[in-house]
Amino acid sequence: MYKGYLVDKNLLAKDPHFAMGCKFCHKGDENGGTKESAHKNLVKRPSDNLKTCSMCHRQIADTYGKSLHYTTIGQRQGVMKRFSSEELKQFDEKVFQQSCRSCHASCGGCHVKAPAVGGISIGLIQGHKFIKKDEGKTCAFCHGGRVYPEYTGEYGGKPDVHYQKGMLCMDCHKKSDMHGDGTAYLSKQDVKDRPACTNCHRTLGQEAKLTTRAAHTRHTGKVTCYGCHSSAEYRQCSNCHLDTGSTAKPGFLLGLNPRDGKTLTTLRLIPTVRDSFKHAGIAMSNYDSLPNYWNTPAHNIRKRTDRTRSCDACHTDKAGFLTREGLFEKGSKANEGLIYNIKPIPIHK
Amino acid sequence: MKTKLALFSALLLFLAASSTVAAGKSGCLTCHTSDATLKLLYKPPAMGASEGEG
Ligand code: HEC
Ligand code: HEC
Ligand code: HEC
Ligand code: HEC
Ligand code: HEC
Ligand code: HEC
Ligand code: HEC
Ligand code: HEC
Repeated sequence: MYKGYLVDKNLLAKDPHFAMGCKFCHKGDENGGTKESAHKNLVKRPSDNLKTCSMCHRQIADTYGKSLHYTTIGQRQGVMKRFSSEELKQFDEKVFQQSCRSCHASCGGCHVKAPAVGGISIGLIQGHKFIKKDEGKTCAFCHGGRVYPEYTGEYGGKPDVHYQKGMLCMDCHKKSDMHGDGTAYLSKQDVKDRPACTNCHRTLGQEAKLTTRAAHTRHTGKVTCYGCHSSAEYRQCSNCHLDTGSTAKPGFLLGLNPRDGKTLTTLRLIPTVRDSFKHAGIAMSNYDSLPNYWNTPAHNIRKRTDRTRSCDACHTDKAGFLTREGLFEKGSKANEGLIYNIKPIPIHK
Repeated sequence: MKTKLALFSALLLFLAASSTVAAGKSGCLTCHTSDATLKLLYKPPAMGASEGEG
């Protein structure tokens, strides 16, 4: 929409960012008489170059350069074990820079302009204001495949209880996570300031209701909060290909967390398949060293779910558990290792 | 007549000079603050092939 390019006149005099003119950030030719001449050498995404903002926001730009949102290194680390060293080199050259890195966030993607999805963007937020945050117009677009619609209930099921209570992304996620803390983390699992349910819910296991107490005290270190409180089916992606994208369908899956090899948790099918990088001539010699399912902090939490209503849902029915028959076809051999064999509740005690 | 012209050019000069300093009067703004102009110049993007997966 053209309105996404419309700058609000009223901001110009008040906002210090505009004091040095548009040219300061966008280059181009302020005296150009036509669209073409004015846009000659235009920089559309000025904050992609961290220097643009670092002049005045030095500290943020410095740490941001090392954050996962900027490096997107998490995506590389996620698949790298599937490659031989020669393949990894090819991946870095042909895929990572062009494909993965292209999705990194610029400062403006969270503060100025709604990021594009599939080439489409709603454009400037509030007429080019430099906003502190607006999760629904920023985070929501990049995390619009999974997290956001699952959180708001748009993907089916009920909205996350926190959303219903009026909480948004930044009520749990910290600014230091978004801007980075100066450490170049390789994975989101390592981020020091990442949120945890128990940061806020500190009195679990002290509830008056016996079953609630049993649920909370008996499963510490055995079942994650998501295992019981994830309330609905979430998005399972598959068949990701560089040229054609991927397909997705809803599903709910419980299995062993591949990252710790011991807890039962919600799993999500991720879209890297055997021939995902065929297009780039990369075979993935070690494809079977990693599973196709990963633990996922599903953002669809409710107090009451099928599993909080019934202990048997897990202990006898194994509802939603990953099974051999249900495994992703032609998937990695490592998937079998995630099937969880739960025991019935011990009778004594 | 002469004074009028001088006044006019002084005004022009003032505007031109200010355009490089303050954002207030730059060429960018003629279009980017005008709903009608942008509507005219806007070309809708072609649909991309990918969708958000994050
Ligand atoms: C010329 C100096 C300068 C540059 C360059 C600059 N900023 Fe700022 N920025 C400021 C000042 C000064 C403030 C504080 C404004 C205020 O408190 O009203 C600010 C505040 C902000 C805020 C907070 C707004 C709020 O509501 O509190 C954001 C977000 C921001 N800048 C983003 C950016 C981004 C992104 C860039 C790069 C594209 C950038 N800035 C470049 C000077 C600058
Ligand atoms: C321009 C797209 C984009 C925007 C905007 C964006 N993200 Fe992300 N986000 C990503 C990508 C890509 C990754 C994966 C980075 C990696 O490779 O690990 C990511 C990773 C994350 C992670 C995990 C990594 C970490 O640093 O902990 C969290 C949490 C996250 N985003 C939350 C948010 C929130 C909250 C917002 C809004 C304030 C937001 N994101 C805005 C694209 C975006
Ligand atoms: C992934 C989203 C994201 C990205 C990318 C991002 N920020 Fe922020 N930024 C935030 C959030 C969220 C806040 C905090 C809003 C709040 O506390 O209400 C924030 C706050 C700010 C503020 C307000 C001052 C402060 O410290 O609270 C400034 C200035 C700022 N960011 C500048 C930048 C600059 C410059 C960049 C790029 C180098 C950048 N941001 C990249 C999400 C982001
Ligand atoms: C302090 C730096 C700064 C200044 C000054 C600035 N912009 Fe921007 N502009 C940005 C950022 C940041 C973005 C979002 C793109 C990105 O992430 O870098 C943006 C985006 C835009 C977009 C959307 C571009 C697109 O392709 O969707 C337009 C239009 C725009 N600016 C117009 C202007 C105009 C007109 C002025 C002068 C009144 C101006 N900008 C001044 C930083 C700036
Ligand atoms: C109630 C708290 C809460 C809210 C609200 C919340 N998150 Fe999270 N988020 C978490 C927790 C907890 C994790 C898991 C952190 C971990 O264990 O590494 C997480 C993880 C993530 C991740 C990493 C996903 C992955 O697969 O590992 C992303 C991306 C993310 N959140 C984005 C968002 C966005 C976008 C929003 C707003 C729509 C949001 N979150 C709202 C608590 C929250
Ligand atoms: C930033 C703090 C924060 C984080 C992190 C957080 N929560 Fe909450 N949670 C809340 C608040 C606040 C409420 C609303 C409490 C109320 O209104 O009684 C809530 C409500 C709930 C409820 C409903 C309780 C009821 O009595 O209805 C459940 C269940 C819950 N959270 C589970 C989780 C899980 C699981 C996680 C991790 C994914 C998590 N929370 C992360 C703050 C948090
Ligand atoms: C084995 C299943 C199970 C696990 C694991 C579990 N919960 Fe619960 N949780 C329950 C049940 C059952 C209830 C009570 C539901 C009801 O009253 O209908 C409950 C209730 C709650 C409530 C509301 C408490 C109240 O007073 O009613 C919160 C908050 C909560 N859980 C948070 C968490 C968090 C955070 C975790 C992870 C640390 C977690 N739960 C792990 C089963 C579980
Ligand atoms: C999300 C699935 C799930 C639900 C729902 C669930 N459990 Fe469990 N429970 C487990 C898993 C996994 C273990 C670990 C032992 C195993 O693998 O058999 C476990 C272990 C236990 C144990 C043994 C603890 C120990 O110390 O060895 C007891 C007792 C137990 N559960 C009782 C309950 C009760 C009572 C409920 C209902 C309030 C319940 N469980 C609901 C998954 C679940």
